[in-house]
This record gives sequence, structure tokens and C-alpha cells, in this order.
Amino acid sequence: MPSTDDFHQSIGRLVAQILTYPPDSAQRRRLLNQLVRRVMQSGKLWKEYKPYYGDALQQMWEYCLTHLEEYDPSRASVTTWLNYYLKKRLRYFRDRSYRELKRRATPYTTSENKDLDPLDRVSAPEDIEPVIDIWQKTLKWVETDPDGILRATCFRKRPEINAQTLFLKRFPSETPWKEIAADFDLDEAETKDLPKFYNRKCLPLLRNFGSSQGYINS
Amino acid sequence: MTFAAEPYTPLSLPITLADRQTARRFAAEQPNATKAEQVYRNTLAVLSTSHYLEMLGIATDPQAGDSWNAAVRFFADVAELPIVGYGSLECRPVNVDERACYVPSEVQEERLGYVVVQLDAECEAVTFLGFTETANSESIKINQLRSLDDLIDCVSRSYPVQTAFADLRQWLDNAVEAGWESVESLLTPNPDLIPVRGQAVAESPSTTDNTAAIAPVLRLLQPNQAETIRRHAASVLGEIGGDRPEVIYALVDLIDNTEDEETRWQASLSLGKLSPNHPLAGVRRAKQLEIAENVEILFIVALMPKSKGRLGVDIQIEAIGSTPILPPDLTLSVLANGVTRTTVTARSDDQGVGIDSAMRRRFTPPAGTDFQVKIQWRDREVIESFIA
Repeated sequence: MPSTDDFHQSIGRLVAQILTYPPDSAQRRRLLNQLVRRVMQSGKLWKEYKPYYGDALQQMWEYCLTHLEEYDPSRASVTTWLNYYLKKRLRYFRDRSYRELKRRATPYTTSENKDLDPLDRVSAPEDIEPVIDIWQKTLKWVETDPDGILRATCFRKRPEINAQTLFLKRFPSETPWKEIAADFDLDEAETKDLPKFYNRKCLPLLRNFGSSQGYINS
Repeated sequence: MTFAAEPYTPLSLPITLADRQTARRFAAEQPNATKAEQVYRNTLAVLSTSHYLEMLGIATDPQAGDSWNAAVRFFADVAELPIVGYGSLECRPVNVDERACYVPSEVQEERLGYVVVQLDAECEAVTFLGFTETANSESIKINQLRSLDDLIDCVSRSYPVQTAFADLRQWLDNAVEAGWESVESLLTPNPDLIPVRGQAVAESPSTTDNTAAIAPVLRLLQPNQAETIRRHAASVLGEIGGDRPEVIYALVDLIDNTEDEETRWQASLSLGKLSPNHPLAGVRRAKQLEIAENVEILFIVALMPKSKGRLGVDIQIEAIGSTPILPPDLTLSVLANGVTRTTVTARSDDQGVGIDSAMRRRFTPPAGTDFQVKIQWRDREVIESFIA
């Protein structure tokens, strides 16, 4: 096994090499990929068993890898530099969860001794009503096909195989494509083409419906 | 280190709380548990891949994909991640120990490729198992996936390999391009400096008075000595000889008269150290390369002036580090006009363990022509161009 010094030197050289390539080059990104893997697998990153550790780690990596030129090899090893930002992010999340705890009543922690993650409780899902509304409204649109566009979108001059019938076979229960093909007595080539038709002709109709209804998540 | 036995360990990262919240939100919209589970896992796969690519500087836009359109999500088992300016990736989740990845028929088209993302049982960590550009059936075998480097190539600009030629004739005038250093500065101790007879030889720096030490070494250059002795003596003179006329004369005499190519190289390189501007002086420079993770090699180029204005070129790669063995299948090739002229590959024993510590190729290209040296291992390659 290479010694710790070898590791730090080798990682330092890797960073220097990365900086010689433009940010959008495959060469730089391949080396960044190598850097992340080697550092993650070295076990040299600061570790804390906190629910928000993954969030802090992800933010640290995203910041540091896009600001590699800020790293000063004369001051610290690469992992020391990464750990500095990691701890900074961890502090941020810790302070935030304290604030959340203070703001909310704390029946959760008293009723159960388990170390519950405060962030898990921050945003309860929006009212269940509008959520169910989305699939019911979408399903209703498919079933009624008010513009007749779904029924008009058919597979190979087979009016009974159209966007509407296919949608209803795929939702709410996901009928396998082979089964659908068998139901419609399709030959081998048609069986292969049916999902392509679904992808190319049917899903765009849903895509438009979703956008028009504002069903795009943020 | 046994390179053949060393498995590629894919990267694992923890899943963020923020991503789990988003995934839960999407899953909560679904009419049944099966669909909710599917949406939950697809969303985590998309978000984790998105973060990872963003870390590498690859801009993604999950919101522009079908996975963020609630209506489409109901009717398609989709995990689409749009890459800004390139197209969409499909990020398919698998469980730990699954050997194949399910790719629904409806997402087998219009994709740049498929990233297979393993979620652990608690959905707390992801492992990026690999990438493939095409999915021709509903199942992709995990062990046939390519590394994420292939994905990076798909969504990055490819800059041409630096084609600046190193002008080897300039090297003889001691004008060496940046990045090339003396072998001694990169490699200590110098394996060429083999102590011959007596401590005075091994220890003397060339600045002190070596008259007493030089005379016996000069005698070792005589034709009645074994060729290996003459070669070692030439090497030692390169270290201790100084700029003395009798040493220069003896080395030139050796270059002119030896029948042995190896000895001639050594004499020429020693001459280069003592009298760099001599017309017969050779030069040797090296560059350290990291051909893969933890695999560092020394790339050495030596030159020796030959008759009719041509240059003898000696290309060598040497393993360095704690276990100086070249990884098996590492290939050294010389190309001219795009055609491979000579090539050599590092070997392994029956167990797949590397056995070669160095490889070399020597040749004498026509004066003024260019050639490329390619060092290749697995999917990594380094190409350097030279003019002879």
C-alpha cells in the first residue's frame, strides 16, 4: 500500500494536472472523476454520522471541484482543504436544524428517543388533496379525451390501438408491453415498434397536457 | 500490487436529505404503492446522477425532463436526466446484488445513454455502477457496463491531444521543452551509476579533483576489457569525468570504435553530461506520467547523434513507485504518419501479475521527420509528438 505521503503527493499532482485542462474538456472531467473516487475511497474525508452529512458532502464537492483553482498547495494538502469546506457545510446544516427545532414544537423528540432527523419533518408534503388531484385529473383527461386527440393518435391504421387505450393499459397498473402486444395480436415487428410509437407519439401528448396544467415540479 | 487482480471500485455517495424529500414528494402523488416505489427510486437515481455530473462541471436540467412532468411520470417508468446542450440520459436504479438492470421499452430511444445507479436497501447511498450508450433489450447486464469515463466523453468537448512537437535537435542544443527533466532529478538513486571498484568512484562529485580516480577508469575502456566493463566505465566517467580532454577523447574514441550499440549509447550520454555541445554528445530527458490511478511511470527519451545527420532515438518507459512493475498490457508504440512502426507490451505471469519493470524501443528515424510515441493502458492513452 502506498504511504500517506505518497497519497497526498499523488492527489496534489492530480489536482495540478486537472487545472491544465479547460473546464468543459473530457480530460479534466475524467480526472475529476478520478479525484472524487480516490479521495472518497481513501477514507481521509471528515466523517460525521449526521442525517445531513450527505447534503454537506455533496455541496462541498460541488463547490470545491468547481473552484479548484482556489486550492493553494503551499498551505495544505488537498484533503485538508476539502475537509475545511466539508466542516463548514456541516456547521451550516447543524445550525439550520437547531433553528428548525427551536421554531417547531418538539413532540417528536420527546415521544420517541430515536435520533430523528429534524429536516425530515421540515416540509410535510403539501395538502394531500391537490396531490391526488393530479393523477385523477390526468386520468380523467385520458378517459374523456376532450379534444379527441388521443383517439386520433393510432398505431399503424389500427384505430383501436391509440394513445388513449395504451395510456389506460399502462396506468394505474403497468401492463407489460408483451402482454399488450398479445392482446392486440401484434406480430414480432409490431411488438417491437409499439413502445417506440408510445414514446414518440403518445408521451408528447401527455407532456403537453402536464405543462399546460402546470404539473411541472420545481 | 497486482494490477490484473485489482478490481475497479465504483464510486459511492450518500443520498442527500433534500433528494429524499423530493423523491417522497413525487412518490406521494402516485395512486398505489408499486408506482410510488418506482417513482421514488427513479427520482433518486436522476437526482444523484445530476449532482454527480454537476460536480464534474457537467450542467444538467432535471426539471426539463419527463421525470419532472407529473403527468408523464404516471404513464411511463421514466428516469430522464437532460444534459444541457447534449440530450438526455436515462438513470436506471437497481438494487444491491442485481446482475441486470431493467430498461423499460418506452425509454429505449432518444437517449444519450444509460447510467446504472445502485441504491442501497435503505436508499441512503448510491453507487454509480457504470454506463452504456445503447439498450437493445429490456435488460442491461451489469458486468458489461463501461466506466463513467465513457459517459464523460459523451457529454464533454473533446480537445485534440496537444500536438506541439518536441524538436529533438533543439534538445541537443540543450533547449528542452517544459515538462522534460533530467532523469537524475526524477529518479534517485540513478540505476545507471553502478559502483565500480572502490569507494572513490562511487562517491566523488564531479567538482572535486578526480584525477586519481579517473586514470584507472579510463584503462577500463580499453578494447581488451569485457564489453560490460567498458560500458560501466563509460557510465562512471559521465559522473566523475569533468570536462577533461583525455576523458572526452576516450569517450569519443569509444563511440567511434565500439561494435556494441549499448556501449555507444552509454558513451554518448556520458559525453553529453561532460561536454553537452560536443557533436557526438547524447542527451536524455524524462517525464513522469500518471497513466492510471496509482500507476506512475517514467517516460524517458534519449538521443544520440548518428552518421548522415540522423538521430538515434531511444524510448523507454520505466515503472516507479513502491512496486516498480509495469501493469500488464501497458503498451508502448511508435507511430509515423499515423502508422504504428513498432510496439511493445508489458507482460504478466500465469497469475496475471506484471513481470516487466521497463520497456524500450530504439530506432533511427529519417532526419527531419516526425513521429509519435503512444503509451496506452486500458482506455487511457498519452501521445507525445517529436521531430527527429
